[in-house]
Amino acid sequence: MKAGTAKKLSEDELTDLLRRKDEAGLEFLYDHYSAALYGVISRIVQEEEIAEDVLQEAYIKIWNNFSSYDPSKGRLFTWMVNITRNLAIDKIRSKEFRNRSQNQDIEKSVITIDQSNRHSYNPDLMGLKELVNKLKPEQKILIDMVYFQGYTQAEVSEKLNMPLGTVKTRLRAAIMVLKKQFN
Amino acid sequence: MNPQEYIESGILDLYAAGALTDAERAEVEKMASVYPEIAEELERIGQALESYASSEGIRPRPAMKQKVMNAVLHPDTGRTIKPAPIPMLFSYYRIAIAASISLLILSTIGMMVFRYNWKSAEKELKILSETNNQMLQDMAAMRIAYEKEKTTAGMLRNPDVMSLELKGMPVSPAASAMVYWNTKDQTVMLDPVNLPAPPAGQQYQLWFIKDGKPLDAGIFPMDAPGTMQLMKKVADADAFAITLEPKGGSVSPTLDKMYVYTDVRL
Repeated sequence: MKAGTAKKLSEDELTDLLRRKDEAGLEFLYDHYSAALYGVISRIVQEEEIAEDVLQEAYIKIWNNFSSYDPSKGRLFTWMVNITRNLAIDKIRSKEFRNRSQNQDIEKSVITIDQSNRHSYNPDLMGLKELVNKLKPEQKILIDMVYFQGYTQAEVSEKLNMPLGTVKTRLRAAIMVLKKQFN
Repeated sequence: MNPQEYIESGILDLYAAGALTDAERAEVEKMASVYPEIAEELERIGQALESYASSEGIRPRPAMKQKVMNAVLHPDTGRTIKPAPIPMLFSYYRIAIAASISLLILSTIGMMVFRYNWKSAEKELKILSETNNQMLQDMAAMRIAYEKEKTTAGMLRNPDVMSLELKGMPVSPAASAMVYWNTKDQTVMLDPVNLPAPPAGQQYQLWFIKDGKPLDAGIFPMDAPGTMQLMKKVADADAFAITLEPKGGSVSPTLDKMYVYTDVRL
């Protein structure tokens, strides 16, 4: 198996490859986005085996439904994250999953909030790693819950006992911090 | 509504974060197609979130790449169907007949066969028992981890608790720890998430920094990994750090043995 696609592709070139169902496009998509997508999944689905299933399902869906991606509506990554997040949420809501979780001992589904020793080091972001997490803890929690885990603001407000207005303001502040960091 | 107001309403943030209903999304997309400044802002926010998601990424195990690519490109190679166990029926009959003949005609041999089966059953039982012990140990470890995570989750929900991630320093870039600081009642809990085992005779010590001065927040053992440590109370701090000190701790920190650090107000 090839070591991986090092060549940088523009978003246009990538979408071309994916439209033509070119395997090189799939490989690029995996090499460059699997960590980000798996990060999203892992924050919703705690069991590694099931998280891996969801990752697989996500790539299948992204590949097969690629014709429904409309570049004029936003970035490719945004589209992929939405698909991935929804698959993960569906998975934990599915009756089958809930039954399995109930039958298993709680001990079998350990929740690990700590993912620090599995963070990927994206070479493009080397050097930026130190700047990451300029977010205040209360901002980070909100971005993680809304963006990664797909909670609505109302659900966040309820879960964290935080007024809805505060949720909105903090979320905006968090995004402004990220924009400044990454633009 | 003018585009600037629309941007300032924060709805684009929610769109990029996936927090809108389908109807709301359609509305945003319509506005973006009409106003280029809205489209640009959406692009900027999208980029920021994408970079953030990448930096927060978690690599799946290497074997997944081949697995996923195969599943996508060759969806027909599915699971193998197990062959129907018809042959077993015939074997069963054979064994039953052979056993009964043995028992009838050669009772001694029959006894030997019986004893052999008994011995291998004993062995199986021993293996099962060892596996069970291992599982019990694993379950005990998982229970500790679960309890810890319940505490952690409880603390994350408490609005008085500030959760701080202490990042690795040059001495140990991969190290990390979490501090949960209840700013109201001043309790500090420490989770030594990823600190290397200290050498003999040395011990980690938590410090909090106030007005440029480091102050002791307590030493902690590393002999029970996965458990949360209760540290000294902290009323006010600008930063937290962990250094490696001689056993029993020090009055002031050994700065070139700083393993993790974080500011409080970023």
